[in-house]
Formats: sequence, structure tokens, C-alpha cells
Amino acid sequence: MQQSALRQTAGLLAVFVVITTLAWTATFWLVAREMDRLTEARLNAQADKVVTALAADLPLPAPAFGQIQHVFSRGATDGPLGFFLEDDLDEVDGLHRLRRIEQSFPEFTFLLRTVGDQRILVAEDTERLEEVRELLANGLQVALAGSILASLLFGAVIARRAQRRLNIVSKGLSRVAAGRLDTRIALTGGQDDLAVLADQINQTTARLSQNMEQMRVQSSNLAHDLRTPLARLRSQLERALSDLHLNQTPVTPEVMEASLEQVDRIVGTFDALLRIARIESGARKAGFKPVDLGVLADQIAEVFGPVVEDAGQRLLLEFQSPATVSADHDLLVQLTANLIQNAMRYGQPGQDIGLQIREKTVRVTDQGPGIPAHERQKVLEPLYQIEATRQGDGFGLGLSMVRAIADLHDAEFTLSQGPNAVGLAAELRFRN
Amino acid sequence: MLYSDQPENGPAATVSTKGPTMRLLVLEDDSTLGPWIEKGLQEAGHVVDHFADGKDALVAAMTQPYDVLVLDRMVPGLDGLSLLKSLRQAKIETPALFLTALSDVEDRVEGLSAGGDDYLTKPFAFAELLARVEVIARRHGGMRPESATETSVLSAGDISIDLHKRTCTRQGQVIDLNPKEFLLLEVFLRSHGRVQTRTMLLERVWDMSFDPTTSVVETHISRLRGKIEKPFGDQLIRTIRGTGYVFDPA
Repeated sequence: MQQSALRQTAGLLAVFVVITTLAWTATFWLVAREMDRLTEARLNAQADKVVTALAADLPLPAPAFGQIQHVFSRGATDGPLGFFLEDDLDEVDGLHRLRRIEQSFPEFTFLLRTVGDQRILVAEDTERLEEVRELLANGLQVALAGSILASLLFGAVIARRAQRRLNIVSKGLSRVAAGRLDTRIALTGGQDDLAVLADQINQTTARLSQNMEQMRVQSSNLAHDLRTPLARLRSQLERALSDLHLNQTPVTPEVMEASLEQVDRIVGTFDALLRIARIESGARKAGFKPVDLGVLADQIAEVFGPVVEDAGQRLLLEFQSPATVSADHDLLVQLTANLIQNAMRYGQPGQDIGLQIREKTVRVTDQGPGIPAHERQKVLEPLYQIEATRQGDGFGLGLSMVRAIADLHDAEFTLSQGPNAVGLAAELRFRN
Repeated sequence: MLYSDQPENGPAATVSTKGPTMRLLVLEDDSTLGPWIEKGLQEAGHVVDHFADGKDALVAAMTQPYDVLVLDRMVPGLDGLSLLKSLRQAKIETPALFLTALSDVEDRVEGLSAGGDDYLTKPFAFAELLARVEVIARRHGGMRPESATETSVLSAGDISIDLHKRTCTRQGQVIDLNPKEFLLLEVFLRSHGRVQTRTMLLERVWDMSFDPTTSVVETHISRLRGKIEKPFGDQLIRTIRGTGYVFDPA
């Protein structure tokens, strides 16, 4: 099982704990220092007042609230020093913290100053401050521990949930990778990034599955289209060989030519498939140039008109303000040629094939059997031929090539019933 | 055994050429295709050196004069494309035709930009190969029977066309041709005696790089025949089944 979500959460938590601890330690240190600084300032202020009074020979000022104040001569070993120890007073001038002797003893901070042979002692009971400091420290520790614990819990829940969802996606994907394209990833819970991702994976898989199905149909059609000429080729060669063996009949040029024709048919099918794939790759878009549809139709008629006539049909040209479109000229010729060939293939002698250019529309109509409405989409798929006409000589790739060319040009290609409800009308409408 | 699986015979000898003898190098490692091409080109009257290894072919192409190189793109040792690049770097400009099983436009472009003159996709008709090799050779000087003496009138036997006046006459009679028929006849007159494959005609006359499955070439040839042969009761254009046509007035 993948644990990346859990690992990431643990990493994030570690960073969070370190930063929080640092921040809270710094806060505590700053507060404590500020409290010490304030005490020192108050003691100094009082000491200053005493020094001033002594110098002016004035009565000593009263000690400030919460302070103890003594003035005594240097070297004095007695006097109302209370709980201050004698050796404490041997200390040099400056700020001192009274060492505790026993637990019940209050904590004091005192300031010593010497003026002439007089020494001034100002002290303040800092027991309270110590308590506040301790309280603060404890509070900070509790808060720190609490927030770490809370984020640990929350992180674990989130990570487990994300991990579970990730595992669902990952399991689904490995099923897809194993070829089970019917797999769909079902995520419970809100529409987060992961849900969107799962949705996209599902869409991709559905598309893939559709393509695979299409490809499966195509390959079986391709196999059919290749097997038929291959079977003919094989039978021709086999018959020629057995004639040679049994009757000593020499192989005739006709047999060889017929065989070559079959080979060319197979190659033709391959070439058409490759060409469709190349068109679908879109590489030819770079070579688009302005193409006058009227000129194009004239060229087509010049080339294919006689072919249509030889088949006993007629190619009728019709123009209505033909437009110029941006296109690949060769591919448009091929598209139109394919449509006319299709019309010829399914038409009968005596029938008309129409080639109409109306502005940005190219339309080829025939008077053949047409295509039933429900088959019209399918015939655009490679190698699909309506079953009844499958024995026809077509490669079954003509219309799918037309569709590929239309798609390349971002043009709309539709099949509908021909004029007067007869035959088929194939229409290409350019959008550009 | 009444038949042999060894390619003892080259392609059908129906294809003959009247062009001068060329010295050709063929690089093809396939054990059937290689000897087949060699034999066929020899039967067409050319001197052929056949190699199955690219390095040997490169040494030969560097040291000996050839008219055209026929190079398979994928062979052991050194592939045709790299071979030609090396040759071009050494300023050896022998024209080359690539044979390949790849048919993508990109491959074609790659081959041509490496200094190749033409490109033929496998499988191919031998006549196609021969015709293209001859076209390349003529284009690259040495053998220029018609372009050296370019005139406005092309003729063969008793038929002639005037390129400026766009007229065609046979045995003194003026024949009315439409522009494509005229162009078709012009291509035939220019390639007098050499095979024109369907693909080549589609490219030259109708400017089509794809093969329409319908009988475009057949139809138009038949119409041209109806105008230049039928009234005179003889044959100028010979059909080579499955391959193409030769303009070959007696």
C-alpha cells in the first residue's frame, strides 16, 4: 500500500512542532526579559531618588510600593537588614537576585549602590513575578503540547482519508493498466482535486475503451478486407501450381497478372490505412493554402467526368458563388474523388451524379440505393461497409478517409438522403 | 521440383529500355529483393553492383563512379540515409533513390533532405523502380537526349506535337486534343520508349499524389487512343498490365 499521504503529513507535523516550539520559547524568553527589565528600572529609579536625597541631606524618600529600602554604612555588620545575609551585602554594586535558602523564603531582587561610605539597598519581592513567569512557562507548555497533539490527530485523520482515496484511485488505475477498461473509480466524499482527477481518469478510460472497441472492429474488418484478396491470391497460385504439377500446364501471364492485381489491392488497403492515420495526425495542417472550390470542381470534373461517363453515368456540375477556403488542395481532390467514386460504385448506368458547389459547401449526390439513416454514422468508420454491399470492390476506407480529411479541415461532413428522397447526398461544409 | 525458391530470374523481361547503359549501385540486404533488383536492372541493360552491407556500399560509392545509387534505408552496418549523408559531406553528388518500407511523409522528407532524389515505398513494381532510376539519371546530366535540344516540336514516328501552338498532327492530319490529353501525349513523347507507370502518370499529368481506385489513367489513355490510334488503325501506346504504359511507335 502506498503511504505517501501519511508520510507527507508526518513530515509537515515535524516541521510544525519545531517551528511552534521555537516560537513559543522565544515568546517566553522575551516576556521574562521584559519583566526583569521593568523590575530593574523600578529599582534604579528608587535608588536614584535615595542618592539625590542623601546628597541634598534631605529626608529619605519612602520606598515605593512593594519595595524594601535600606541605607547603611559600609562595613556595617548589624542593623535592620532583616533576612538579608551579611555576605550578600559584600557583593559589589549592582543588581542581584537573592539566593533562596529554603523553600519558604520569598525571592527578592535587590540593587546595591555605594555613595561615599553609605550603601543603599533597594529590594523588591519578585516572588510574584517568578510565579507569573512559571505560570507563563507552564501555560506555554500546555498550549504547545495541546496544539501539537491536536494537529497530530487532525493530520492523521486527514492523511488517512487522503491516503484511502489515493489508494482507491491507485487501485483503479492498476486495474486499468492490467487491461480492465471497464473499471471506473468511485470516490466518496466531496468534490476535491482528487475527485476531479478520478473523474478525468474515468473519462479517459471510457474514451480508451471506446477506441479499443473501435479498433477491435476495425482490425476484424481489416482482417476481412485483407483476407479476401489474400485468399484469392492463394487460390490462384495454388491452382496454377497444381495445374503445373498434374497437367504440366504452364503458368500463364494471366494468372501472374491476376495475382499481382491481388497483391496491389492488399498494398492499396494498407496504404489507405496509413494515409488516414497520417491525415488524422494533423501534420498537413501546416500546408493549408487558399483553394477556390469552383476551380477545384472544374479540375475534378476534368479528371473524373470521362471516368463517370465510361461507367454509363453522368457527372452534373453546378455552381453557386463558389468560395475560396483555406485547405490542402490535394486532400480536397482526394475527398471529392472518393465521394464521386462512392457514388459511381453504388450507382447504376443511366443515373446522374451531382457535384454542387454552393459558397463553402461541396455536395455530391447520387441516385443509388442510399444509406439507411441508422447506418450513416457507422459508414464513416474505417473499413465499415454495409453488409449487403460488402462483397463490393471497395476498400471500405473511402468514407473514413473523407471524414479524416473533413476533420483535418474542421469542416462539417454529413450524409443525408439525396434530392427527391432518392440516393445519397454527401455534404462537406467549411466553417472557415 | 518444378519451381525454385531462389530468385534466379529477375522481373519480367517485358520491360525494355532504349536508354544508354548506366552504372548503378544497389544497397539492399533482403536476400530475395536484392538479387531481384540486381537481375532486373541488368536485364534492362545496366551494370549493377549489389551490396547487402552499408559500409561496403559506402566504400564503393566513394571510390567508383556511379550514375545512380539505389539505397535501402534500413540495412545492417550503415543505413542508406547515413551512407548518403556521408557521401554528400564528402562532396560526392551521385544521385540517389531511396527504397523503404516506411511510407510516412516525414520519412520521405527526411530522405529527400539528406540529399536523396526520389523515394520509393516497398512493395513496388519493378518498372516503377526502373522508370524512376532512369528519370533521375537523365535529370542529372550525362544523358539528356531531349532537353539538350529543346524545341517547340516533339515528334516520334509520324506523330508530332507543337508545344507553342498546342497542336497535334499525325500523318499530316490535325488531331484535336483537350489540354490533359495534350499533356498526356507530351509526357509520352518525352519518355519515348520508356515505361510510364500509372503512379508516374498520375503525378505528372493530373498532379495527384494518391492513387484513385477508379480507372482514371485507363479512361484517359483510352480516350487518347481513340483520337491518335483508332483513326489510323495501329498502336502507339503499349499497355504493360499491372504496371503502366510505353509510348512506342513502330
